[in-house]
Amino acid sequence: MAAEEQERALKTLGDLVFQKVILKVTEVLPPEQVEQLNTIMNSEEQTPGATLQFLKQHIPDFDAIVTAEVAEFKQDAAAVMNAARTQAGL
Amino acid sequence: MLSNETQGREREQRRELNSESEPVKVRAGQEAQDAHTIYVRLMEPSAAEVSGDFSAQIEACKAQLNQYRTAYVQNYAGILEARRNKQPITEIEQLQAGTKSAHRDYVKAKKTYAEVLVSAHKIQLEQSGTSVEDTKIQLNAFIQTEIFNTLIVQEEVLLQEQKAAVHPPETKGVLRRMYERWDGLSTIQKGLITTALATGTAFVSTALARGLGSMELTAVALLFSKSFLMGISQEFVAGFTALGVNTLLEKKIQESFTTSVEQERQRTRVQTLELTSLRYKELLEKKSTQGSQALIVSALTMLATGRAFSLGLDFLSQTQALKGMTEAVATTFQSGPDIVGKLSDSETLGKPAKGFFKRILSYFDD
Repeated sequence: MAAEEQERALKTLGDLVFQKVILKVTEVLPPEQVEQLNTIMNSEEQTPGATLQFLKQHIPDFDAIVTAEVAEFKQDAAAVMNAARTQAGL
Repeated sequence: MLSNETQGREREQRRELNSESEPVKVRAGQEAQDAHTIYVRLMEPSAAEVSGDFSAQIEACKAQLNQYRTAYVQNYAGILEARRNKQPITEIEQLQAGTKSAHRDYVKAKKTYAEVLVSAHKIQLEQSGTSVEDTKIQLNAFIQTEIFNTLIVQEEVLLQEQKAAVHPPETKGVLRRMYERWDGLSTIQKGLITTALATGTAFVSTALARGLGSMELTAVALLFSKSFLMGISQEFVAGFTALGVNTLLEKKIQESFTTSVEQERQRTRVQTLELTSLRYKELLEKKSTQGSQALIVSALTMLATGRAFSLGLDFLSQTQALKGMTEAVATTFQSGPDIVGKLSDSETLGKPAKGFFKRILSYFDD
């Protein structure tokens, strides 16, 4: 894999994990706080870290949710890759 | 409900399986003969394997994957709606059970598709006269690139798009903004945030909250990103490290480290041990500035990469307690109290150095 491809693959992994977590977060966030989140995101440049802080504050078990999402991603990916390797006799 | 559809499919599949096994459940004598028939049938190459034409099977897998993905997303949409309508928790739990089942079907469909793709590629290689050894190598590469891209990356992107699409407009807006904001970040910043999310590393959120620019944390972020991303990639992409990922990240770390150190050298022009430590301490005692943040980064990077000599911090090599720090960065930086404990036991560190480390650790408190 060329260096550029590697970089792309790594970047993509990060993108996927981030998006998966954000999707889950918006799923569990109460609707009335979605609007608040919008406002906080607007001010992220002035107050870096505010978004993450808000999420941690308003979502119970935020860290556990994130861990679960990442774990699910890894598990599902591993299942597919292992199935492929088994089929290939590797 | 769609979970019933999934259940219906499962019942159908069980019936099919049962019907295949039924011939085996007959009287003795006949039983052995029928078992043999089934064995022979299983061992015969499939039509696709014989002809080398897997196109029909691949199309069938694609269709099945689309079907199961759609079912999964529809189940997911059902949960969102139930939550919005504040339906009873028991109903939501039932929907969640249905979604889990749909998710399992979806993963199975991905696995089946992967297996067919691999079989097709294997036959292609064999029919082109590739040696057994080369076939293995090429299949490995195929799995780590094509299968990874198609069934891990692209499929996840598609799934997330479809899930996002079933959210109400206000949430879609938030999602879109978040993705746009994410896209606008540099690789380094993304690594920082992803690692923070995935590992819950306190220092990152603190660092962000204190307004530390991402560039000042380049080296540290990359180090954590590396351990995080390598952790993920090693688990499901065997040999990912063998593809040179390690080298790429090391190169990036080296580049950013060199820049940080060189910048600091030019700025301070301080070479001796004690003076350097004092300088660090003085800077850190002041309010957090760009300069002091850069120092923190440089120092932490050096600790992590074992290049402690570069800024005159030779004392690091003198302490037994700190020898392990160069090897397990993430663990080390998370075990703040242990480091302080070890440091206070050490007799070789002077007062300024101890103060220096304690101050660094205070930045890691959440």
